[in-house]
Amino acid sequence: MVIKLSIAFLRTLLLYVAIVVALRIMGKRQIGEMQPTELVITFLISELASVPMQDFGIPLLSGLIPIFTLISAEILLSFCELKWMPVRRMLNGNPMIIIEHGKLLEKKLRNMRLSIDEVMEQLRIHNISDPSQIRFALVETNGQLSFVLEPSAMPVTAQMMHLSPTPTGVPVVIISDGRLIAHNLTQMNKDQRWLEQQLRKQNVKTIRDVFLMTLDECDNIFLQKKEGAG
Amino acid sequence: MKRMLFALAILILIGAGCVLCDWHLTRETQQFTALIDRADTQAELGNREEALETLQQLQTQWEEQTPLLGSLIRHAEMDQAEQLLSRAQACLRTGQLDAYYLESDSLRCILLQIDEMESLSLQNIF
Repeated sequence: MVIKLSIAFLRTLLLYVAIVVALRIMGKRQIGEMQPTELVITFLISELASVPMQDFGIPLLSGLIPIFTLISAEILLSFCELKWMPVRRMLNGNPMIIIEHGKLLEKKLRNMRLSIDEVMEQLRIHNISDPSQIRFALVETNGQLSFVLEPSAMPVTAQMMHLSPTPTGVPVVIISDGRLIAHNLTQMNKDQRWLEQQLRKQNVKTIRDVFLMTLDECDNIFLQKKEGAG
Repeated sequence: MKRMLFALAILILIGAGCVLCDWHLTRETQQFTALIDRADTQAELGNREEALETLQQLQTQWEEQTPLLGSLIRHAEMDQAEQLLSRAQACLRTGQLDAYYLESDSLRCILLQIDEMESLSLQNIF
């Protein structure tokens, strides 16, 4: 019994590592951003991994080979999609306009099998209260709805107000949960002395008291102390 | 581009590995069935001791291949083959030749079945 449990444990670990590696090879995507083929692959991989995980009589390779074959085939197909438009169109389709100048296109909605309720739900999620505010609404190839608003309904930008806000860059984590990430500090061309100066300015005694500190290229700092720190 | 080449390399590796394993499995199965045939002939000629030695040789070879076979074929089938081999040896030891031929035939069948199930054929694909 103990040996059986150990086998279950080891097999699960091995398959878990294989899945993580396989998905890492496939690349970073959120579920909502995946193309149909990628979504199918992701679900298939979990099913394929579960079979040898539960049945010890099946060789581990019976799960690993299909998983890596699928991942490799998916990557090759993605490359073909990238290089050749006809392949992309065939596999992913084209984005479809369903709202044009505030008017819902009934025929397109029927083709996409989208109900009015679903469309209204998406409008609310995107903080759009009125379809007349929409210049174009498109169903993208991954199934998500995207909106181009009428100019009068667009949020105000700094440019419209003739303002020049402080530029920002990509924030890099310098301190995470009390631990200094020295590599990132060096990458941002800063040193320990600079860090100590910044901490003193914010009345922070030590690095350990900091929950999160970020820095961007424009020297904008975000610092949050740990709860209960002085 | 790197990812694409890596994926291509994995596919080629998997394909080559599968072909190699299939070839290896066929070769081993042929060797196993050849040993069974030899043991059968020896038993028919009344040389029980020699037949037992041949089956022992088969067992040794089988045990050497077990780690690789275990990663290629279902363990239930391997267990079945091992069981049949043990029963064939027991029948020979006790002089039950009729039962021995039954067991050796079943063992031959299961070995051929293992090879056939893993081979690249239209029947297996579809």
